[in-house]
Amino acid sequence: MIKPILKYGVTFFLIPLIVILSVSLLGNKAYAFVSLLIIILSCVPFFISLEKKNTTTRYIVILAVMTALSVAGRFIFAPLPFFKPVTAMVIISAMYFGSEFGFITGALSAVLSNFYFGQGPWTPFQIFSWGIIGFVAGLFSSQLIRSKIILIIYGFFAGIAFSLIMDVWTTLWADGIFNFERFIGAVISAIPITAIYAVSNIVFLLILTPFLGKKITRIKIKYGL
Amino acid sequence: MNTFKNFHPVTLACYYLFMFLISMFTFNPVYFCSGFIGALLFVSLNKEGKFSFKSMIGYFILFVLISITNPLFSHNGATSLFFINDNRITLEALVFGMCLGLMIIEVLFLFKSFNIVFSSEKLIYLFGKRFPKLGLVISMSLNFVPKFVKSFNDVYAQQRYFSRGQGRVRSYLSSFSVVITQSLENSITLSDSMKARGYGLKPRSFYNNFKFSLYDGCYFIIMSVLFILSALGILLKSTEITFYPYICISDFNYLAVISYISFLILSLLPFLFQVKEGLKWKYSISKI
Repeated sequence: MIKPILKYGVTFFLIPLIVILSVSLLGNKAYAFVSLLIIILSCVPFFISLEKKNTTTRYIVILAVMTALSVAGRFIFAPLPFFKPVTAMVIISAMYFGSEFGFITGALSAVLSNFYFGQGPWTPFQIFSWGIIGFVAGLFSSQLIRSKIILIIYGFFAGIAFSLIMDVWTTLWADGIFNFERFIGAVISAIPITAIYAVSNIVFLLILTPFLGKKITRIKIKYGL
Repeated sequence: MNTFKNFHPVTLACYYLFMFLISMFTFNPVYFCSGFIGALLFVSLNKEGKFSFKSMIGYFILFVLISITNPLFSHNGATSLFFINDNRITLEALVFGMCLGLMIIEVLFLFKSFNIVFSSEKLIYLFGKRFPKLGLVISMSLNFVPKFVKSFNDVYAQQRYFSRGQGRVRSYLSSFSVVITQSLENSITLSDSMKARGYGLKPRSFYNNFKFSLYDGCYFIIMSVLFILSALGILLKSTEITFYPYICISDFNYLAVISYISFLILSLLPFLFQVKEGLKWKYSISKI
């Protein structure tokens, strides 16, 4: 009984409450913190629905494995700056296991890898952006599996989206408010990194998808996931 | 030796919650300064903080960068200093930028000390009861990650040895794919074994070694009192500073002094505790 209240309460009650409170109490000073809170809260419904769902042990273990693989990927490719398979792994797991799985893989990858690379005010933004990338990939899973071109396009835009969301973070924390000029400046200065993100997503998606897809489909058929 | 880390996770979580709340609901350089000093001293005391003067230069550059760029983007404020390309640079915006820089550095250092104190077990303990599946996934993944990295290193060494002509990136990628295959196969065995041992049955709990002692309770009360005192100053607006159009600091009052001091003590608490315990330890050794 408590869980559905929590699930909808967060979206329809808690987030508007925080926005109203912050505007009335703080004026325009605390955009950065408020955005952080809202982003954390917006992830809560996904976690609650994981708890509510009737999941098999295999589902849980595969979830843990896919998360661990994307975190390990961030480690393994540490010598190459920004060239990371995390987004690609999140997209692939969302393609084959659905959007909720994708969201949780992405969100947890951010949390867990930051246990090693350092948590910070950027962690919620990473949780949000990787989670949403996974969630959207899950929505278009059949198209992404069928067509390589759509996959490439999605990987490209996922890299850009990730970079843009992190630029929002930069702007909010450097200014305290959302300053559009600063945002444009941050986007322009981050163009090389954005390009690396997009290219690495495409490269990893093209390399990993065929054989990983085969393995996952085999496991799904063989063990009835 | 007892350290700040050994407190109960609930006490620690409340401490960081208090610190972040105060940093969030105020925009006052005095609070930011005391929070920053407390976190800095605590981080420099711990080896895990990887504190060095070199990294401090980086933070200083960040601070200067934010302070300088704020007046370039924001032209509010009444006192103009000079003009750059018809853009007014105001004193108020510069001071505001400096406060912002201070806030960001304070928050970064708070997170640094948070990283030292909060191991993953503590987080799982805090959230495991409310989100048991999520807690399980997190603890399993944390267990998998070093294993995967190790098996990747093994496979990679082999790959480099057997196929010398291959490029570095290529052998990286193929080793990564080997690890993926291995771990996917193992996961099925693992989950079957878990099921056979009764995972998913109702009375199931996480192992933890945390006990809420009297000591935790005392510190919790001290923290709460300090937090309430420092929050009082913010709520009653006795520590308020407005920046635009003029910098306006509220008149001297005792409540402001009390809340500044109590927040300073609150932010120094981990450091003071560690120093106290360290001295105790030293003293007890010399007695032997």
